[in-house]
Amino acid sequence: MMFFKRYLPLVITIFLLPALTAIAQDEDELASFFGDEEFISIATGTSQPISKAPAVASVITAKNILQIGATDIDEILETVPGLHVSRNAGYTPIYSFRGIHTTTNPQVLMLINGIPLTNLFYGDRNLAWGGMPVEAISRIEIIRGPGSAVYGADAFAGVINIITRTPAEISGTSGGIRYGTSNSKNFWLQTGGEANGLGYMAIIEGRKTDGSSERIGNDAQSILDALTGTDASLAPGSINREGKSIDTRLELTYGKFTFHAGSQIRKQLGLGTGVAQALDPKGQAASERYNADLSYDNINFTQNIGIKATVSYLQTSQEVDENLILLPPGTTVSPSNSFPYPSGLIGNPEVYERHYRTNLNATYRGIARHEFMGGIGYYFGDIYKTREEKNFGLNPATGLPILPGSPLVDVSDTPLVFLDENERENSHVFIQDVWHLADDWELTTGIRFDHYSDFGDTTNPRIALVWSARHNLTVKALYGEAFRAPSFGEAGEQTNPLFLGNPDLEPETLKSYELAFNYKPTYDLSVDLNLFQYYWKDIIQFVPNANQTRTAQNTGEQEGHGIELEASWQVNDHLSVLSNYSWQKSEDELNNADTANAPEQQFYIRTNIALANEWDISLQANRVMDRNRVFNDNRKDIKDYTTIDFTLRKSFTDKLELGLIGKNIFNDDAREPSINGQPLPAISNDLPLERRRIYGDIRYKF
Amino acid sequence: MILRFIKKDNSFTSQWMRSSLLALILLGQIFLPCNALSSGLLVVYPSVKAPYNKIYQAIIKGIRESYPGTTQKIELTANDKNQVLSKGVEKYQPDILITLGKESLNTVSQLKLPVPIVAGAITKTEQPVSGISMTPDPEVLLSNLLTMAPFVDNIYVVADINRRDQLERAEIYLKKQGKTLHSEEAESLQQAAEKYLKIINKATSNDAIWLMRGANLNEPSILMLILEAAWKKKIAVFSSNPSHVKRGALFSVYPDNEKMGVALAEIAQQHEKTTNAQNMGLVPLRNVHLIINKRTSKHLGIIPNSIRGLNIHRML
Repeated sequence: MMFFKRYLPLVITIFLLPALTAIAQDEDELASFFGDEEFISIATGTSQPISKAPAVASVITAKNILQIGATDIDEILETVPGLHVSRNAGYTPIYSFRGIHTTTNPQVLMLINGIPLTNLFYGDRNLAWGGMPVEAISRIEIIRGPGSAVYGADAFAGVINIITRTPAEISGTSGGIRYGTSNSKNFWLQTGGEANGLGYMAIIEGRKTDGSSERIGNDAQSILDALTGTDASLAPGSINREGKSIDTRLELTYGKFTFHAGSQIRKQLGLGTGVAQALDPKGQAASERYNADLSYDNINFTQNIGIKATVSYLQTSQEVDENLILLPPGTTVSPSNSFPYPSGLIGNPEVYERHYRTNLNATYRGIARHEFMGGIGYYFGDIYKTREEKNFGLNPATGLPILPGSPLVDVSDTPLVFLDENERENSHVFIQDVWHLADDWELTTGIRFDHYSDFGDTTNPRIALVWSARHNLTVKALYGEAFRAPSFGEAGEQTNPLFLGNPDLEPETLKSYELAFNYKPTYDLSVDLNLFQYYWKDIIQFVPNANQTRTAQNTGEQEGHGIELEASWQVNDHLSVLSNYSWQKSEDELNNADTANAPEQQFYIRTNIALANEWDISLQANRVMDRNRVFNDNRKDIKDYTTIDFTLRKSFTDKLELGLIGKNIFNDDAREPSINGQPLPAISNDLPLERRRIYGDIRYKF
Repeated sequence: MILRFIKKDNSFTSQWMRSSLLALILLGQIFLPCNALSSGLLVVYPSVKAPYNKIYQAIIKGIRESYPGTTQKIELTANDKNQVLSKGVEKYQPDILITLGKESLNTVSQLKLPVPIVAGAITKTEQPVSGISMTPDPEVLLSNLLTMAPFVDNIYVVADINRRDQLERAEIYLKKQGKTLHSEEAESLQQAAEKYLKIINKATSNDAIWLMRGANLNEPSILMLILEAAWKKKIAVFSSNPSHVKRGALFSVYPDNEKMGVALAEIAQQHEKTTNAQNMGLVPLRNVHLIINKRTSKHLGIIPNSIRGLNIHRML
C-alpha cells in the first residue's frame, strides 16, 4: 500500500502525459484553422450541423452514443429529458414522453432517415421489435411534443428520427465485436467511401443474446390456477428475452440523389413475460423489415426555389418462430372448462405489411423576410397478409369449438382470423412560413391537412415564436396540435382471447403549449429550461372486460404539465458534464387521478473524462421516480430506481480501440410497471429489468 | 530535376507577387501537353487522429483529381518517420513531393532530396519551397463581409504584432472599395482587451470588428466581451476562426481542402514542367468555405439566403 501511495503521483503523471509529438503540433495547427475538433467534424462532413427547428428537441450524436456505452437504441433514448423507456409485458419498449404512456405506444413516431417505421397493426413498431443496434447511427433527433404539422398525424407525443451514417462519416473499413453478460454477442462491419462521385456506405450488424433471466413470482396462469384449481403456472420462473438479429444499411449518394436501403431481421425473439402475461419459455417471435428510399434534394433548383422529392418503401412482418403459448400446458383457461390443454393455449398470429410513400417538398425564398416551405405527399399502407393458427375458439371448417387437446387449426383467410387484411390511404398537403418579423423575432406558422381513406380529414396547425432576447438567450413559445388515427388492431382486431378492436373508435387529439429558454452564460455552459402543458383527448386504451379480454375504447382525457431542465458543461478540454431533470404532473381527468405508470420525476447525469493518452471514461446515473398506479390498482406505487453505468475506452494507435461497459453496476432492482387487471394484476410485482451487466468490445479500423 | 534554392523572403507582398507570377506561368502551361511531362508525385503527410485525418484525406483527393500522373502517398508516424520516408522515396522514385503539415516538410527537408518540394497545410516555413498557406487570404474574408454588410464603412482589427503583411493587404483591398481599416497591434492579452474595449466604445452599427487569428484572442473572456457588446450595439463581428461563428460571430471562412489539393497539384505540375521553376514561397489560401451564424445575421437585419453572390457552405 505504501508503495502504491509513494508512486501514485508518478503513475498519475505518466497516465496523463499528453503525447506532445511534432505530429500533435500539426493537429493543433489544423485545429486553429478549423476552430476546434467539433468543427472539423462538421467541416469534413464527418458530422452534420444540427438544424434548429422551432421545437423542443434533443440531438444525440455517435460520439455521445459511445459515451453512453449504448448497446441498444433504448439506452440512448433513456438519457433524453422528458422521455422514459418503459417496457410492456413482452418487453418491447414504451417510449413514454411527458406522461403520455400507453401499452402499445402508437403515440410516438419513430423514423429512420425521415421514413416512418410505424406499423398499421398497432401503430407501434410491432410485437417483434427486438431492439435496434447502434453502430449505424450517426445521430438521433428527438422532438418532445407534437410534430404533426411537419411529420404528419402520428407525431403525437414525440418524434424519434434516427439518422444513419453517411459515406463521408465512415470513410474506410472498420469493424468490431462485443461480448458480455447473458452470453450477448455483437459484431459489426462497415465500409464507406467515394469513387467517381459515387458515395457509398454499407454496414452490417449482428447480435445474439440469451437475454436477461430475471424472474417473476406469479403470472396470469397463477390467477387462473387459483380460480380453477389447476397447477399449470410456470411462475415463479424466468422471463424470456433471448433473440437474434441482423441489421444492414446501405447508402449511395450521387450528386443530388441519395438512396437508402436497409433490413432488420429478427429471429427467435423471446416474449418477455409471455404474450398473455403467462410465462412462455419456448415461444419465439420473428420479424423481417426491409426498406428502401430514393430522394432528390436540390436546395437551388431555381434561384429562389429548393426542392426535395422522396419515394420510399417499407415492408414489415410480425411472425412466429415457435408456437406462442398464451397459457401454459395444463391450463383449463376458465373455471367453466374442466378439460386441460395438454400443449397449452396456443395462438400464432402473423401480420405482413407494405408501406409506400411519396413526398415532394419545396422551399421558396423569393419574398424578403420570409422562408416558405410547402409539400404534398401520398401514402398507401397495406396489411396484405394475416395468418393465424390456434388451438382454441371456433374451427372455421366445422363451425364447432376447437376442443382442448386438438392440433393447431389454421384460421387464416377465414372470418375467424384475428385481423382482416386491410389497407389505408393518406394524402397530405402542408405549408409553413418562417417570417422574420423584426430583428431578433421570428414567427413560424404551419398548417397540415391530412385526408385518410378510413378516418376522414384532419388539419393540424403549429405556431412558434422565437425571440433572440440577448446574445446568449433565446426564448421560444410554441403551440401545436396533433392527431392519431386508430390503428387497424385498435379498430378491427377480432376473435382474439386478449385484445379486441372497436370499429367505432374516434381519433385521439392533442393540443400542446410550450415555453422554452436556452441560455449560454459562458461558451462552455448551456442551460435549457422547458415548460409545457398539453391536453390529450379521446385516448384509446384496451379496457379490461369481465372475461380477461380487453376492448379498445376512447376512454378518457389527460391533462399534463411539467418542466425539463438541462445543462451541458464543458469544464475543460478533458472533462464535460451533462445533466437533466424532468418533472411532469398529468391527470387522468375521467377518474380525477394522477396518471399511472409514467415517471413524474427523472434525473440523469453523465460525466465524460477524455485523457490526453487516449483514455475515455464516462460515468452515468439515471434515476426514475414517482410512478403511480392506475386509480383502481391497489398495489403500492412502483419503486423508484437508480442505475449507474460506466464506459471505459482506450485507443491504441488510430486503428484499435478497446472498450469496457458496465451497466447497472450496483445491481439495483429496477422494475417497470406491470399492468393492472381484473380481478387482480396478472404480474403483481412488476417487470424486472436487467441487473448488473458487463460487456467488452474491440473496434478495429482496417 | 534540379532544386533551386532561393533567398527566403516570406513577406506577404512578395508572396502575392509570386502568386501572380505563378498564376501567369500556370496559365501559359495550359497550352502544353500535360501527360508528357508528368510522372511520379509523392504525397507525404503525418498520421493524425480522426477527424483531423479527414483534412489530409480531402487534400490528397484534390491532388489526385488534378494531377495527371501517378500519385503515391506516405503516412508518417511519430516513431519511424525518417526510415519510412527514405524507404518510400527509394521505392517510388518520385519526381516531385508534396508535403502536408509542418512535420512532413521538416522530415522531407532533412533528407535533402534532389526533387522539388511543394508544401501544403502549413502557415509558414523557413524552407525554400513553393506551396499554399493555410491562412485564408484577407481579401476573401473582407469581400464576403462587404457582400453581406455593404453598409459597413469602418473595419476595426486588433492584431498580434507579426501580422503586418495581412493588414497591409487588407488595407489596400478596403481602400479600393472605399472603406477604411483601423488596425492596432497588441503585444499582450491585457493590451488586446484594452484596445478592444476602446473599439467597442466608439464603434457603431456602421462598423465591423475583425477577429484576427492570434494568441491574444484565445481568451474566451475577451471574445465574450466583444460579442456581447457587439450584439447590443449591432456591430458586425467576423472572425478568422470558424469556431467563433458558433459562439456568435457573424461569419468566418475555413479551407476548402479538396480545392487546396487541386491547387497544390497544379503547383507541383508547374515545377515538373519548368526545370528552373522558382520557389514561390507560400501563397495565401483563396479556396475557402463560408460559414454564417443565422441567429446573428438576423439580429443585424441580414438575411443571408436572399443575398446574391454569397456562396454559403454552412449555416449554424
